Amino acid sequence: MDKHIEKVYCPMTESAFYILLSLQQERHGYGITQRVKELTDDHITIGPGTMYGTLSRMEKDGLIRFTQEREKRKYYLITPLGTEVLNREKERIRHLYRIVQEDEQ
Amino acid sequence: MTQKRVLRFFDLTEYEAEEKWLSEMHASGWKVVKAAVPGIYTFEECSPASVVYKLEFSDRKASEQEDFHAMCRDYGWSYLFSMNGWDYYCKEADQAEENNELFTDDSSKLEMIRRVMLRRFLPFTLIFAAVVLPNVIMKLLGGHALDIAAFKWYVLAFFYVCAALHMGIGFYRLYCRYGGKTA
Repeated sequence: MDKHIEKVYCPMTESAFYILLSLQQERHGYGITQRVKELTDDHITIGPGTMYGTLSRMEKDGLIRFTQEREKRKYYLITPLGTEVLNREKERIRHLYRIVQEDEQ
Repeated sequence: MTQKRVLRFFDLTEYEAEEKWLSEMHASGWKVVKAAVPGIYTFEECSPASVVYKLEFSDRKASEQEDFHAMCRDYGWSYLFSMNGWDYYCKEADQAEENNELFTDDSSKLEMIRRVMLRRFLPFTLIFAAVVLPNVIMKLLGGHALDIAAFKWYVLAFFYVCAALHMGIGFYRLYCRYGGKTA
């Protein structure tokens, strides 16, 4: 994996994780915010400024790609590189969870 | 529709106070429709409403701005107008505070503050260092230190120093508020 990608996305912020997770399905910015609210029980809200910036960055880094534009809304989908980064993060979270479980025994 | 113009000055670090003021004006039945340098706001009479105003100093390209505005509309934000590099947005106030933000992460806010410092504050201080200060020094050392002409420069220098100090404190406060978290 590219050094730059590793530095920025391993580990990634919670918002970035949820955004990447949501984009395993084709969505547009506002749709991602709604999905993230759903997944986090309204605990994480991503505003349009933050969302636009994150999507631009992720697209530039190759983690997501633009698929189509409908009614002035741009839709995105995760790329193979994005999936690789997401899987690495999932593994990190799994490991974290295991450590917590062991610690509580 | 009745309109009125209000003159009010907000410096580079007072955009949050400006947002609050525009919101208060809307709550008392006046919505802003235009703003011009150096601080002339045109308000239009309207029914009082709870509206949130946000200002952004962005470096987005013109082509990207359209996309951004389209996304904003989905979230309920309307782009109003721009003044001197600042973009004005508003939206109906929501019960949940997190829904009343354009930027929900501190690092974006910090980035914007840095941008304002680089593109506005830096030129401001450079003009002082390159133009005002040399003239003040020349006047003081030129044997005509108490001339009317000299006083013009002293007054200008005084204004500059006060403004720079005030904004310096303002930037520091903003940095403290949004730059806190690491790791």
